[in-house]
Amino acid sequence: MNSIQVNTSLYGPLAQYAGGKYIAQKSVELKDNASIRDLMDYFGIPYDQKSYLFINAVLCDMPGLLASLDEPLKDGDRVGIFSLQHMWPYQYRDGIRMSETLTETLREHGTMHNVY
Amino acid sequence: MAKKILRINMSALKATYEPIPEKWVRWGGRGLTSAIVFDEVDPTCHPLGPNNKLVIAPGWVSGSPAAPSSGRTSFGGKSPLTGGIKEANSGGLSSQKIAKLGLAAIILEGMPKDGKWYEIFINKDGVQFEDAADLVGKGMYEVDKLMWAKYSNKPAVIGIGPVGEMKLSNAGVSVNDPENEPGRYAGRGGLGAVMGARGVKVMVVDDTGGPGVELANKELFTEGRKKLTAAIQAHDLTKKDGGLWTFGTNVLMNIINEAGGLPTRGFSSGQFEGAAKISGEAVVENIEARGGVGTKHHACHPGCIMQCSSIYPHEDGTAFVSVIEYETSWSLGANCGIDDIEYIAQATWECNDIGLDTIEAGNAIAIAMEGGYLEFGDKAGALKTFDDIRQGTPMGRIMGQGTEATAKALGVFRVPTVKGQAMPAYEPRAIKGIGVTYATTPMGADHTSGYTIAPEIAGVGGKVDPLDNTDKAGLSLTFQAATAFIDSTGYCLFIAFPILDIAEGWAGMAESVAGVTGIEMTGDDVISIGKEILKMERLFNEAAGFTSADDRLPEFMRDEELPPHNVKWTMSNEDLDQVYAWVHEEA
Repeated sequence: MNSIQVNTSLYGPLAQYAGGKYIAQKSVELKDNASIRDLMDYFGIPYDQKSYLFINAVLCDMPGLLASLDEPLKDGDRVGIFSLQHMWPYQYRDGIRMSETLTETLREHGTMHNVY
Repeated sequence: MAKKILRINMSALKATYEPIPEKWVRWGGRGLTSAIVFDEVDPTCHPLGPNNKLVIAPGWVSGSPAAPSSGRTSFGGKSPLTGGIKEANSGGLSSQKIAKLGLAAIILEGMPKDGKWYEIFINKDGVQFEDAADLVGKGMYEVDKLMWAKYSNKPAVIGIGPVGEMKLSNAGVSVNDPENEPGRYAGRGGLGAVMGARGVKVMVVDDTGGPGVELANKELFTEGRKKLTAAIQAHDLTKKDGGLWTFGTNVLMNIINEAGGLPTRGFSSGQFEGAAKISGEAVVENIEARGGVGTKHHACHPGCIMQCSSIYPHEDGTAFVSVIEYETSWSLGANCGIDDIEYIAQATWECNDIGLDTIEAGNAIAIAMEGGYLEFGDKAGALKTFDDIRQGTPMGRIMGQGTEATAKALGVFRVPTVKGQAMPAYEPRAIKGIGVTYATTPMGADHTSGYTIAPEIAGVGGKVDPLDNTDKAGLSLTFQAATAFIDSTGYCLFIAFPILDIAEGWAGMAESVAGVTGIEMTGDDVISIGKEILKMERLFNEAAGFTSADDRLPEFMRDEELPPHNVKWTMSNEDLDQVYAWVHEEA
């Protein structure tokens, strides 16, 4: 079975799932066709503990949502996962690139809130 | 006792207490500084000449009992950096003390005929002028200590460092914090040079025995402040253990970097490989490891319940600097290709001491790197810049004038400014919404000019879809108006986070203002009042010579793709012009 490498950064208390305190950056080997769900399972991160999540600088999830779990990963991807203690006010993310799944999810929930 | 205006004429060395004219009686904070500048300052005057003024105003609720996080002081005048109207506000001790002396504003005008520097002391008994020759050339760390040694009751100290004395366009106004450190700045726009041009090195404010702040409607005030306090304490961003409490504003470093919106090496990329090393997470790791006086929860003014400030310690646990904000760490770090947090702490200390706005300072250094005067990543060269500015060397004076002056001196055309003021830590090509605010706010490129307020809470009506680019102009105007209102309250702008999500908090903010002032208002009035302030500011700028051509982002952002998303700035000029079209359309 082929595998992929995913460059992962965990921020805030989530870093403790990869041996860090508030920052952990680690290259992870996962099976081919792995998803964000597989990556979080690899570290043992409870899904409801993540907030913002990026794949290659594209915002794929928000605090209180689970819009990214089925996002597929490929070899060399860069993933950043933030804790519930992180914040990102709307005016500083207005117009950034988002995944299609998150875009549709936010249309349902309203884009401008800080938490969902 | 009705509040008064304290007018200090430096030409006559005379202070007078005046009743508040009817036209200003409804304003506080930014609304009042902008109203006074609009009415009394010739828009065509030279910012450093005798006809400009420095106006200092606490917010509507500052000094009132138990209003949460309400210690912001607005400073206003014509900006030497932008040539337009400027309001910059600061935490620290000044707002509540000025308010408790029964003052709605202090107007500093004129210039000493004898060319001397002055120290001004204000208390319940009046105003004293003293020769400040012995303070000239001193940094604000020393000045603050000298003032607390000289005066009792731990007064507010409002001062300028050597940069303000030299009247350079990146001079900020320093306010001491509760520990009497100078980390609080009305930094943007060069108002420290306006203070320097009045011949004032330092103003000391002691509110002991002052009349305090009267409440027009105590019941309404109490109800409003309770709603606002509850919202702040409930919201995930501002409550204890929330984002601001835990990591401070520098919590944004890694997020903006992961999003590809972190301006890096002079706005040439949206990601910096060293971002994690200069982030809030890294700062907190060091604070916890070093102990001593270091703390990750620090109030920049009495009564702040968000406590997003911190005290960064040396390795031995002694105090180093407060505070390494996100914009500061970005400006002096990622934007200069430097990933060393100890350097950033030192550079921040230098800015606090000599009196520089950190955003403009880091941008000027990055321009020096772009222009070949320094290399990106050159920490020693960057630190030497502060020595040059302190000593007033020719290059130091150029860089102390800010980003555009440095770019002109070095022949750099990639200049990330709007109306002469450098951009903060959010790349508008990647974060397009903030680009609209950068372009159109009367203040020049400013990240604090457009804080988010959801339209359904702000009561502006209509269905707004923020995912639709055609609504960006309307959204930006709403945000700018809401920000102008909050800047008038005396509340910290960060209350915008909880009141965005919690409608009770939004209403509580307006009710607390109404309770203090007696002005009838509810949450539904916030945007219209904010627009009145924006209109004064916009009209001042027009009279100063600004046109729609000044509401544009730099040319290179239209021409160059920003990695990693490889995007350009594409907002049309017609859309940008819609943001303020209403100024001449509405009666």
